[in-house]
Amino acid sequence: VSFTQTSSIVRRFRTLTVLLGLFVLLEFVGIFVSSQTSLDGLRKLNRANTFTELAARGIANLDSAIEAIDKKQAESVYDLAEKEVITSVNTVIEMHPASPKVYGMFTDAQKSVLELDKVAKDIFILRQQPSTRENLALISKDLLLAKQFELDINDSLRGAQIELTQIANRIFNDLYQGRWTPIAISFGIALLFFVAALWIGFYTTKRLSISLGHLLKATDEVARGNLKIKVPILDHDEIGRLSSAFDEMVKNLEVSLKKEKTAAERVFRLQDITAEFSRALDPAAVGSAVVLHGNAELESSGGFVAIISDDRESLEMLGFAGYDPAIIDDWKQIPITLKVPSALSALHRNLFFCETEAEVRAQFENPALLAEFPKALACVPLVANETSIGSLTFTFDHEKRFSSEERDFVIALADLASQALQRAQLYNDAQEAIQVREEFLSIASHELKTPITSLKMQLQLAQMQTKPAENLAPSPQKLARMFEVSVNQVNRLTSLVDDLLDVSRFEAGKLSFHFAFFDLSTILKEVLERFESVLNHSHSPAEILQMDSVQLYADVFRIEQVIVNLLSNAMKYGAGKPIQITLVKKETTVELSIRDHGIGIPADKHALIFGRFERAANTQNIGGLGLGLYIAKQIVEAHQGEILVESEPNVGSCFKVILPLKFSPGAA
Amino acid sequence: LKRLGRIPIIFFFSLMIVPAHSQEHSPLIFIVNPSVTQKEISAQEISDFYFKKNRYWPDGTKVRFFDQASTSSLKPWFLQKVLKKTSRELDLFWIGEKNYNGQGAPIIAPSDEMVVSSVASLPGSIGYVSSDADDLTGVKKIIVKGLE
Repeated sequence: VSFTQTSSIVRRFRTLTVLLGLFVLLEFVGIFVSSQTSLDGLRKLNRANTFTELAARGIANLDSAIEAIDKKQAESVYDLAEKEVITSVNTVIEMHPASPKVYGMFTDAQKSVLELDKVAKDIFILRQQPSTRENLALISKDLLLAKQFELDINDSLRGAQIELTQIANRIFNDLYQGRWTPIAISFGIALLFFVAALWIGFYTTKRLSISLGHLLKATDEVARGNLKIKVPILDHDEIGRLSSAFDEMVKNLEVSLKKEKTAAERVFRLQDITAEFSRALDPAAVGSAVVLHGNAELESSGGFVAIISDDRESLEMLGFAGYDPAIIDDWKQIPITLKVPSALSALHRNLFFCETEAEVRAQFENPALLAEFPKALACVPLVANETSIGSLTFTFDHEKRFSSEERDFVIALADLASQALQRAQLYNDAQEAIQVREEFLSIASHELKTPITSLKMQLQLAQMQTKPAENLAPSPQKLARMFEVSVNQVNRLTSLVDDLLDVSRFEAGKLSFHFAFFDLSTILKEVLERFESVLNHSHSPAEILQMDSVQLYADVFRIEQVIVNLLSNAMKYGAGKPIQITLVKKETTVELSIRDHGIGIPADKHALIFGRFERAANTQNIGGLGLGLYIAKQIVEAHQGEILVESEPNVGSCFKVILPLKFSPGAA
Repeated sequence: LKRLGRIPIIFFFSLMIVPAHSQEHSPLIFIVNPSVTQKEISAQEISDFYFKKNRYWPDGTKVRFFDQASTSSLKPWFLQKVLKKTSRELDLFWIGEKNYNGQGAPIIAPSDEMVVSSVASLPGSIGYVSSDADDLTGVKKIIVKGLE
């Protein structure tokens, strides 16, 4: 709505004055033109009358000339009179008086003058001829005709003169009757102006007071807190503008208050959600809380949280609400590459705020995936530590225009959910770590206790069999056996403690290496010779399939430790079957493979077995701390190599150590 | 005086005789210029022409009426039978007409011959002459309905 800057009163008066001024001007122009026309008419009539009089006098002179035909100057007098008549008549005809009747009369007179002229000329000619009887008769006849023509002319002129007089009288009469018109018009205009001014003044004042009243009333209402009040705009003037601005101000105030209230509610809800998240120790509980609160806040018909699987190949439903479980079954796990909003958001961190069904449908590469599409959709990624971990989706059974506040809320909710999920995951990991550590402590105490117990038993046995008072002691063979067992148990204890110390050093980053050149095949052979009896005893003899001579720059002791650990594992889990060993030198690397044909490792454990304290699940009867592969992996990686496993349950396992031939410790 | 007092009586009787005679035989005939195509005319039309109430023939030719002098023997009959006015009424009419409409009385020809020659000379003209007029050269007689 546009408002004028000029005051309405001034504007109305100005318009009225301009209109009245124009009206007065036109009126006076009209009166002037009318009077001028009348005066022109009168002037013309007066002139016509004058010339008619002249013509009439000329006719009288003509008559006199004809009557005085016997006189000498008659003809010249006639000519002069005729000229006078013709000139007068022609002048009046040229003036073309307004009345057609007068014009006709003068035209008749003109014709008659010409006829008279002809007859008069005859008369003058005849007069100059001898006065015979016949001649005289002709003259008499012509004189009679001349009289007739004079009569015709006189009739016409007199008739025209009377007509002109009547017209002049009519004009005079009109002028006389209209003598008061200008005064009456002026008075009327003045009166009209006065009444209009009075009315406009009264009307404007009344409207002004009404508008101000409305404004004051609205101000009071707003002061009392009623923001629904609206000031009616009566006129598009300053007051109207003020009223409009007031309405706009109140409207903005109401919107601001509403926004503030909504924002406060959202903050409270987010606080509630945060509190609930902090209580939720399980990712599934976090997922459920997110969708429940989100649905309540956004008034959505459904919502779900999906997270990316560990292998980052699929998207798994973590929690949902508002959907038919039968439908959800199809969506519990979907490929991460599927072109649907939740997967796209999780994979590419896209934000989706689709406000119509058409927009939602457009985000699905294959529309056949859903029988019925939601009417609106909001989908945002879940990001933790700069890594996308999933997506949060809300769907609506009605078209929805997402306000900036709602968008911000969804994004904030996703942020909170991401943090909560990460926290829950960390909690789970911590729980699992605690569980593993407890399990390790249990195993470690068992593993440490076993050789100590054995050592203690050997010592107690020796003590019981040694009786100094009776001078009794075990036989040297028995003692040798006891010492051998004791030393073995001490070695085992030492090995366990070394492993634990190594792990501690790895954790602290304090494990030191002493690099040197050596032949790996030589070391491998020494280890095999050292373990030969043990291997044979466990019915898992080593079979060397290939043994290339390889010069390696590495820490001999640690590489030996790797070989021993792998060989010990092959022996422990080899189920009494031969162990096949290959050492192959390649172009840039050396590859050591130790393959057993034992119980094998399930595929899902392949990644775990290199962790600390990790052991295969079905190895309750096999000793060990679960640190061998962890230590081996750390050592190999410290040499810029890698350790791999190929295993199949009940078929066997093959551990491959790949080390670079040219190793530079500084680049590690 | 006695002789003078008899004059009106004689005149009255003479009037009694003349109309009776004129009802049987019109003493005058109406003549028109040969340009006039009309064959007959009514007394009222003649009266309108005379008093200039109608100035044109049906074909548009202007009408010029040639009257006889008041001394003419034909004039009284014309006044009474055609114009149905007295001589005084006629004078008064033309005085008024001259003053108020500017129209003058028709031209008076001094004799039948002059009437004939004038009517013959001027197209659209009309006049009346004695029914005994011998020479009607250049004119033609027009029948007046109701007067023949």
